[in-house]
Amino acid sequence: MWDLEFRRPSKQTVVGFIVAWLGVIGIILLTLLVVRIGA
Amino acid sequence: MFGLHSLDFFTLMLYLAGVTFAGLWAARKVSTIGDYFMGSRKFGKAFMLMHAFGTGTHTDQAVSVAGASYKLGMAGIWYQWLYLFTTPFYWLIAPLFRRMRYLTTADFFEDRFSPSLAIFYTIFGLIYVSLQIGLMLLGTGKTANAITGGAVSPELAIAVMTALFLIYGLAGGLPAAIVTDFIQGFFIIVLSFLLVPFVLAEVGGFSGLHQQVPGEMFSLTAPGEPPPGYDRVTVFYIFMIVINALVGIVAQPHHMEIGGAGKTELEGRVGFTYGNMLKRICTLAWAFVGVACVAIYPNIADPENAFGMASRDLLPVGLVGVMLASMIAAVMSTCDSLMVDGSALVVKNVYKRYFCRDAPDSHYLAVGRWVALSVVAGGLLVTLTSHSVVGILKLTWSLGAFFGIAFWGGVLWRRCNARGAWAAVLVSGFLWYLSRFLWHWELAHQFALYLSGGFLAMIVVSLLTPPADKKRLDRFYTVLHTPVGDEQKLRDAGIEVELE
Repeated sequence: MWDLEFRRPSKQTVVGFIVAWLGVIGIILLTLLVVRIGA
Repeated sequence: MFGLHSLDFFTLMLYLAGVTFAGLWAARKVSTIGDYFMGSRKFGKAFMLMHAFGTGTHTDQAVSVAGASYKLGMAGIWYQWLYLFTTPFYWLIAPLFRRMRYLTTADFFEDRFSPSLAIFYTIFGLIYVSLQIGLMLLGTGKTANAITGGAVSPELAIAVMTALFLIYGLAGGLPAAIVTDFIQGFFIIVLSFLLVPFVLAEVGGFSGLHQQVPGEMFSLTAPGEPPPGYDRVTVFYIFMIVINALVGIVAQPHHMEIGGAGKTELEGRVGFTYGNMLKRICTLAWAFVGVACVAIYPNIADPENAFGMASRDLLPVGLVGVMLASMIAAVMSTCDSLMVDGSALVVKNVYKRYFCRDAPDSHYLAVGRWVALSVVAGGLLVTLTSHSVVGILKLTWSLGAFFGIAFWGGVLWRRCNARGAWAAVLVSGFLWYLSRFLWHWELAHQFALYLSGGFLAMIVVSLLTPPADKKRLDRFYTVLHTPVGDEQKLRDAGIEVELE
């Protein structure tokens, strides 16, 4: 209806995307940990 | 020698000789424009990861993040972390570049929209790569000058770095860039973390750091009134730079080869996503060094000198040479790629398209090398006319987004046509000009205005004008939706692509 070109994502796409987000969350947690050490 | 201990000088020379040899070795097999501009799409995950990391990470970023963190505290990390929340999306974006099977991003604009937009993009791409090359050389020149206590002038450092990446970059194109990035990537990791133990020792460890530096400097936001030349880092600011980055990332000229030079889509995905993830971790170290410098050097006139001063004063003999080599590695690994990308735009989308269609590849390679040289000359011109690394950085953030709106429209929305794409680029550019130069809005508000205006203009103009030719659209989306490895389907459909 809207002429949008979305396709159903593959398993590799979904799993990889979730893992990448976990990586980002890990980096933020690492940063928060580092700035609190010694405080 | 040049303000360096002989051991440092020897270390530096060893690195330079090694990386130049590796680049020239990779240049042996380059014989076509597919080899020169896209490495014949033959690289595996490790090379793609280090290539994305090396191309996306450069010394000026360490310099600017450390400088911004010196002024703003840990919030200065956002000057490079603007792409942090976009990083997972690289997993989705990388296959687009590989599947399109183009050599340049201008190929996309020509195929999907019009030759005129491709030409306009080529002009933007050349300005973009020149600005980036200038930005990197400028930042590293400043730092080399600080490390050597003024013995090496920024101009001399820039001249030496430029000469070195030209030697192998001109000969070997993208393959030389990717092979040398593999080595240089390790040096960039060294660059990022080498200073951390030394600044910690200087300030008395983590607890000493917290005693000497105000508590608000450890916050990841800096909502107060910013120092001149810096932005107020609020949650809205972070949100807008992430959105702007997500839109603009696809239009940066080098991302076509960062996503497209791998053997399959998975190589591009792993390289693009995790090469950049590695960079985000390095960014943490740069910001940390900047904050520690507040305790070590309470009153630096130019905060962008903080990283270089700490390197000069705190690193022992031998490691100063390693640091200098790492800084040069980080610059060369990006400049060589950008030089090739700028050259590809001119040779493929201007010279081959309009001036000389059927020459042998050896001819295009020769032209490509001259163009690459001109691109670097443009970068050197930038270094002569601009003095602020952060200033150029913010300019490049915006330029990519204008074309990014049209790119996303072309990929996701079949009804988007050439007039709509032109409207997106022109309206967003115009709104950027108004909000930046006439109204002097804060950066995040500029982003909000030109992104919403650009998308709106694209939608309205596309709907009010005739749709693109159906045959052309079918061809484009068939290629886009055919996974790498299934090229027989394209051949069966009578679709030819330039480099599978």
